[in-house]
Parts: sequence; C-alpha cells; structure tokens
Amino acid sequence: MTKRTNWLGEFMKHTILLLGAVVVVLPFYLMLSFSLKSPAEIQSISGGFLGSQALMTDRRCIKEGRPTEECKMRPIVYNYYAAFSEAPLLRYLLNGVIVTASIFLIQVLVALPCAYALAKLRFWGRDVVFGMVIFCLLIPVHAIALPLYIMLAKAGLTNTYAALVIPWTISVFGIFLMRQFFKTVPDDLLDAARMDGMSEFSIVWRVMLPTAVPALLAFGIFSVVAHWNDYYWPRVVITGDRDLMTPPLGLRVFRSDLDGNEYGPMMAATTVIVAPLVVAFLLAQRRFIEGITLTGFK
Amino acid sequence: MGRSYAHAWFVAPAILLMIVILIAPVVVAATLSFTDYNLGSPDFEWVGWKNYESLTKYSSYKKMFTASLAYVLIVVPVSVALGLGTALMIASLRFGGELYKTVFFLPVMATLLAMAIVWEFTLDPIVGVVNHTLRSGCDIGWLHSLLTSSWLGADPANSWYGHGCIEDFPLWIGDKNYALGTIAFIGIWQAFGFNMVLYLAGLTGVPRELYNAAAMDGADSAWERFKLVTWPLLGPTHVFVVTITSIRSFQVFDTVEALTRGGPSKSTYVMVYAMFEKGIRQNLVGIGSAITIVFLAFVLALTITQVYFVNRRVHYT
Amino acid sequence: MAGVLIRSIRKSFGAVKVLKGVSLDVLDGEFLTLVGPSGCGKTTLLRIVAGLEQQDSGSISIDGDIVDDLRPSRRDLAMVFQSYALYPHLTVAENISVPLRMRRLSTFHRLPLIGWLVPGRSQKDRQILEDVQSVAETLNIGHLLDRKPGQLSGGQKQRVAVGRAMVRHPAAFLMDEPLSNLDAELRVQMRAEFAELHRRLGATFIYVTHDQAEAMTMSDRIAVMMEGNLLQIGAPSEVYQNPQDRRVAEFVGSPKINIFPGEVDNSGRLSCLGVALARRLERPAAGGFSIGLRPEHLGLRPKNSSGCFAGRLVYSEYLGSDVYLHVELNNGAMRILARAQPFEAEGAAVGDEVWIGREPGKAMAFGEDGQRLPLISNQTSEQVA
Repeated sequence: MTKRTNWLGEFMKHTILLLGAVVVVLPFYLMLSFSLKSPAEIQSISGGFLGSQALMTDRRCIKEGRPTEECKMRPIVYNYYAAFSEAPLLRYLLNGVIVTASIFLIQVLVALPCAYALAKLRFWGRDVVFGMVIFCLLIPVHAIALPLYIMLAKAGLTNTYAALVIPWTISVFGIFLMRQFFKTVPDDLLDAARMDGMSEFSIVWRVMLPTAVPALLAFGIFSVVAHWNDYYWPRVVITGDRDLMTPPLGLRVFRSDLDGNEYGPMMAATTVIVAPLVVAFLLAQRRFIEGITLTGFK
Repeated sequence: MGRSYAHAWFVAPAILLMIVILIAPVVVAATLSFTDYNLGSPDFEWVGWKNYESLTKYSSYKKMFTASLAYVLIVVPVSVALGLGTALMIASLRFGGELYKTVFFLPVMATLLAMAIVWEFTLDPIVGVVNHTLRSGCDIGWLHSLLTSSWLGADPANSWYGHGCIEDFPLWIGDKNYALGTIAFIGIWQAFGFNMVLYLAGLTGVPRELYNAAAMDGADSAWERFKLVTWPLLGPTHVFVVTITSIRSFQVFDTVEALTRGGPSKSTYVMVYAMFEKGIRQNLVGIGSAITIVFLAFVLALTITQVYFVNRRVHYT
Repeated sequence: MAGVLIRSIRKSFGAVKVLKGVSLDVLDGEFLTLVGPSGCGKTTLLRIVAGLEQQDSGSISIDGDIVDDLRPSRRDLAMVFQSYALYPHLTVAENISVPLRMRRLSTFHRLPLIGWLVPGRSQKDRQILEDVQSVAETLNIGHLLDRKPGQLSGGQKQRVAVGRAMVRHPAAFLMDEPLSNLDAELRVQMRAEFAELHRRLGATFIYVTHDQAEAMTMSDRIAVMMEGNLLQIGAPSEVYQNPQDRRVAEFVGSPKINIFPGEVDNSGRLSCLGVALARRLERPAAGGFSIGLRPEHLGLRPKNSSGCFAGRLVYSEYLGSDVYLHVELNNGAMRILARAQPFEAEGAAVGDEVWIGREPGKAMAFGEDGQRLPLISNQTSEQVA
C-alpha cells in the first residue's frame, strides 16, 4: 500500500535508531579516540575526539638515556609507536594471516571434493557419510576443546601452528553448504566434461571449483572472520610462546602486561587488530553480511 | 560409477577428519568424565559418576549453571527483540536504512575480545566514560531531579540515580550484582546486529501481496498487519534466530575471560569458562569433561528443539 | 451490489506515467475485464479501485459514493490476488474467516486468550464458522477446511482465495490475473467456473488479465488498455469485430490479424499489396494508412484466381479443425496468415505457390495514428469478389 509518508513516524524511528547507533558506535569511537590522545587527556576525559596533539615526553625514551628533544612526540605517534614496539604486533598480525589462510585453504581442500562426491556421485554408503556430516554439524568445536586439547597435548602439538589449525581443518558446515550448492549444478555440465575426457579429479578442480566461486567467497568470509576473531581456541593451545599468538590472544597478553593506565598504546593496538576486518566490511558490506549470515543457510 | 573409485579419495579425508577431530573427542570426553585423569600423570582411576555428582553438589557449579542460564535468558530475548525491532524499523524507513544496517552490523564483525577490552575501559569506575557521564549529570539540577524523581517529591537518595550520585556509581564488572548484566549487555551489543540482518532477510521473504490481502481483509492498523502477516510469516526466522543466539550465548567465553574471570564471587562463572578453568588451567580433566558432556547435551537439546519446530510448526510449504 | 465509476484516473510512478486519465463505468452486476499487454496499467487501475494504491488525480466512486479517502477495507470490495495471497500459517477455514473476524469481532474479542472471556465471543464465532462452511460448500472445498495452504494444489488455493473474497458479500469483486498461475487445462476449466460464479452471485466483477482469450470468454464487456490509456470498451464480439484502434485489432484475436500498408488511387479506390478492395475511405486519410485482414476472412483460392494475394506457402500449422497457412508475399517482403479447412489445405505443400482470397467487406482500415477509418461501398457497380 502506498501511504502518504508518515513523517512523524519516520522521525520517531530515526530518533530511536540514532540513539541505538550512538550506543553501538560508542566503543569504536572511544577506541579510535583513545588511540590518538595523550594519557592525561584520556585520564581527564577531555580533548574531544582528536585531543590537542600537544607534544609529550616518552618516559621510556628518557630512561634509555636519550636527550629530551628526541623523546618529544605527538600522542598519536607515541601511541602507535608504543603499540608496535612494546608488543610484537606485526608478528601477531602475521600469525593471524597465516592461521586464517591455512585454515581456509585446508577447509576447501577437504570439503570441496567431499561435497562434490556427496552431491553428484552415486556410491555405496553415501547416505551414511551424509548422515555423519549432519551429525557432526551438531558438535560445536568450542565445546569439545578440552578433549581436543588433551589429544593434541598427548601428540606433543600444543604451542605449534598445527595446534591452531588442526581442529578447524574439517568444516562440516562447509561440506554441507557446498553440497547444497553443487546440487544446483546441472548434471549435464558434468556429463559434458566426462564426454570431453576429464577425470573426476579434474572435474572437481576445473569444473566445480570455478562454478562455486561465489559460494566459496561467502564461505571464505565466514571462515576468515570467525578465525581471525577467535580467541578461545588460541587461548587454550598457545601458552606463553608469543611468536605463535594470534591477534586477539596477543592483545590479551598486551593488556595484562600493561601497567594500568597505558590506555593510549593499548587502544592503538586494539585499533590495529580490529581495523582489517572492519575496513574490509565497510568496503564490501553486502558480501560480508552474506558471508557472516551463511549460518542461516538452509 | 561402479568402475571409478574417485569418490573414495574424495570422501576419505573428510571422514577421517570428522572421526578424529569431532567424534573421537566426544567419546574421549565422555570416557574421561568417569575418571580422575590429568595431564602429566600416567595413571588414572575410574571414579564412576563422581564428577557428575560434583556438578550437582558444589555451590560453584550451581553458580555455573545459574550464570550460564541467566546469561542466555538475558541475551537471547533482548538481542532477538532488538534484532527484530531494528529490522522492522529499518525495513520501513524511507531513507537511511542501509546506513543503520551497516552501523548495527559493525560489532558482529569486530574482534569480540578487543571490543571487550574497550568496553572495560569505557565502564572503568574511575576514568570510564560511562560513570564519568553519569557523575556529571549529578551536578545538573534539572537532570538530577528528573532522573531521581525528586521533582515528584521523592527522596533522591532512594532512587538508583540519586543513590549513585551520593555513593558513586557501580563498578559494573567489579560488582557481583552488576557483572553478569554488564557481560550480557556486551553480548547483546555484539549479537543483535546479526539477528537484525537475519530478520531483514526474513522480511524480504514475506510476499507483498499478503499485506495487500490483509489491507483488503480489514487489518487496518500496522499492529494488526504485524499480527496477521509479519509475525507468523517470520516463523522460520524466529526459530533459527532463537536457536543460533542460544547456542552462541551458551558459548560465551571471550568477555568473561578478559573482564571478570568468572567473578566476582562466581557471578559470571559460565560453562565454557568453567570448562577452561577446571579442565585446562587446573588440569582437573575429569570434572572438565563432565562439564563438556553436560554442555553438549544442552546444545543438542537446543538443536533438536529447533529441528522439531522447523519440521512441525512453522513449515508452511 | 454496486456499480463502480472510474473518473479520469492519473497515476505516475516517478517519471513513468502509468495511467494517463482513464475513465470507465462498471455497471452494477456486470463482469468487466480490463485487458491489455503487461505494463499497460490495468493492474495499477485495479489497485487504485481497491485503495491499495493512491491515484495522483481523478476519483473512484462505488455505489454512488466517492471512496477516494477510504481505506481498502472500508470500500466494501474483495480482491483475489494473482499469487492467491493466502496466509500460509492459517488453515483454509481460518483464511476464509479472516475478513469476517476482522469485521465482526472487536479488538477485545480478538485479544489472545482474554478474547474468549469477552461476552458474545462464542456466538459470533459460531456465526462465522457457519458462514465459512456455507461458502466452502458452494466452492466444493468443504473437505479442505482443516488443511494449510501449503498442502493444496493451485486450483484449490484459487478456490480458497475466491472463498475468502465471497464470504463477506462485497459490493464488487476485484480479480488480478487470478488464473495466471494455473496450468493451461485448469485455466480453461476455471474460466467456466468464474463465469458460472458470476452468474450465480450476480455481483459486479472487475477482472484483470493479459490473456485476451480469457477476457473474451468470460466477460460481459471488455476494456482494452494500452500504455496507460483506455482504447476501447464493449462487448467481446463488438471489440473483436469492430476494433476502434489498430492496437486493439492486433491485441484481440488469435492468431493475430494481418496488417498491411494500404494504398489509394486517384479515384479513391483502395488497394492493398496490389489487390483492390471493395470499399473506399469515407474521408481521405491525412497520411498513410493500413489495412487489417483477419485470418478467418482469408482462404485458399484456385490457382491464378484474380483479386488474390499470390505467394509461396512457407509453413502450414495443422490444428485439427483448422489449418493456418503462412504465406510469403513479394518474395518474402511480407507474410500473410490465412485460415483454411483441412480438406482445402490438403493439396498445398510447403514451397508451393498459393493464392489467398478475401471474404469481401471484412477489411478494416486504420489511420497513421492507429484510429479506425470508416469505409463505404464503392459507388461504381463493379464489385470485386
């Protein structure tokens, strides 16, 4: 029904949504703002968003015995410089990239052929395998962290990249998703490929993979976001060795190392860790929303 | 495909990994939950149901169930209602909808642990923006009297706000009366945008013609149309949103570990945190495994309920 | 029961003018069909009548009362939608009862649980149930009352949608392409049922379709719309035999009418592709004009007959009762479609040269703007066969 616009209702809705948006944005705003401001401004909650950016003295620099002039810097520089120098932030970011990329690649390597077989090949036991996939969908990996941890510990794998990656190598959700997708690929396409002399292996990687790119992209976003942001599992299997820490875990350690009120560098580190996904999301919103809500796929 | 064994190569890795990574741990957890096993010592003994009995006997585990249930019972209804409410408002806006959608979805994308730390700063009793803002309101006469109802003649000290002005405002995560609520608030802040997006997707699936039919049939107010068309047509979405939010909030860990470590006085001692603390940090594998099994039973029950509803009640086509 | 008066309705969606001033009187109790190609504005017009869409200007009155400011539910109209628009979560009985519940039960009565305690509820419920059952009996869906729409076939859903419209005895029924989602066989069957239902109810029906055959078979009158204008309104036979516009002539009738450029000589005699016609234009046409010939007024003639279109048979469409012959004229520059009896067409093979003749007096002339041009008999005595 086309209504004459109800301007009062429209206004009320905007008011409510704006209030909600303020609450939602508040921590992001403070995170950014604190990462720019001097400790004094943070303590006294003053200086607006940017702070005055008055020159401040880096105490550590003085301790190192360098002249005062060299140790004067803008708060923004100080915060981000401290974030990268006090904690191996780059290492954390690199670990995050290594872990999320390995997880996604192995997930695809395992799930794609299996999904293809379940969707398009007839073989004895297919229904049993699919039943197994459905059953495994019920098991959240976080819930079985303890036995997994014990198994990895027994295998001597804790505190390795392998420990970070292994539990996620199998994505039953990915298999399920890809199977549903492959079901929609016409059999004729496969038969044509077989007539052209392709083996089942080349069908998977040269026919199915390209057709599945949109679904894989969505699944990739889903997987990368989940594992970049995952804190629980790294917390379980990485103890102490900073060189293996992923961004959230590194941030947590940075937080407990801090002597109380070093909010600036802390928030700078937080910003650096949160930024990649948030920026990617802002650039490709539709795809991200699609990927994250994949779990709504039936 | 009798002549080809390609399928075996295709499914074998997946089957192997499913067994080793997903099914075996469940069996291992179930087995260990009847032992006093711990990492490092070669021997263990079977202890029967002792670990499960502990879960029912000791007050810290009772507090664990209370905290988990309370958390779920706060986060699920509020984040689902907020998700639905914002989705309905955004869908009916003439402009600006996309912008709100982006903003409300931001917390879903952001690393929860990182944002938990930001919330910790925000809620800091001394330098936190929240208490700072609350305190500064105490000095503004009209705002103070409005918020304390003293303009109606009430004693300001009896109201929450007036009390806060005198005795200072809560410590939030440091106060056992507020900690769980605060953790739940962060959970809601993070989750409702996800629910909103699911509801927005659900709303696009409601045929326009049904609203026209409702208008012809006499559903004149927005509320009548909501009751007759929107709410029931969102049935499958409701089931899905409620289940996924429940399972996710049962798994809350990051905020608890980073902000409260289960405290104060175990008021935020949720199950996954308990599992982590007992089983992994204190190496009490038996009790940790028992918690794991109970936890899995909860998740399974939720999922089965979902499947039941999807199949029986809300399956229209 | 009531007539519906539509007065100079205009409507634009953004820059697109969907209705350009349509006026139309729907008589009390008549079955009027709005027909036209998709995008002609017919559905928009129907939705404006229903109140689901607001017109930019013009007015609608029902039974003598202007209803422009009334909500859809207050206009005393019922609508059957293309997708049926049944509430998927309600049973058939509940679906049919919705309009009655909305009207007869107060807000208090409809409150969940508490509503049952409000006095008068159970008696009203019983009355509603009786009304629903009687409608269901009429439509032969009594045995489906407990089912959900998801369990029904297309035809059954269709009947439920009609039942929901019928149950409150509206002043007029509005139907928006109600048969377009049914398969061909059921569509033909439902046409007869709609016509029968209309006769039995005696109510006003405004029916929208893009299918001219549907319009022709069911309606008392049809209104042909194109590009936001009403081109012609009249009984189906009138519109078919006497189209006032070239576009109407082309739209109504299957297979489509043949249209050729017309020529006129110095003496005013008409011809078409070199074949002289029996009549002349009443007034000389300003610009060019065209001649329309329906396939059923054309037929096979013996070899070398005079006054015929000679051409090569390229395709012959055998339909059992009739054969449609596609003939290329002027070496493929034009095509003509003619109807023949199967026995007549037996001798003609694809590739043969054939002669197509006309039934005299059936040709129609249309001006450059598409307007029908009146024809009169030639003064001269010689008649062309």
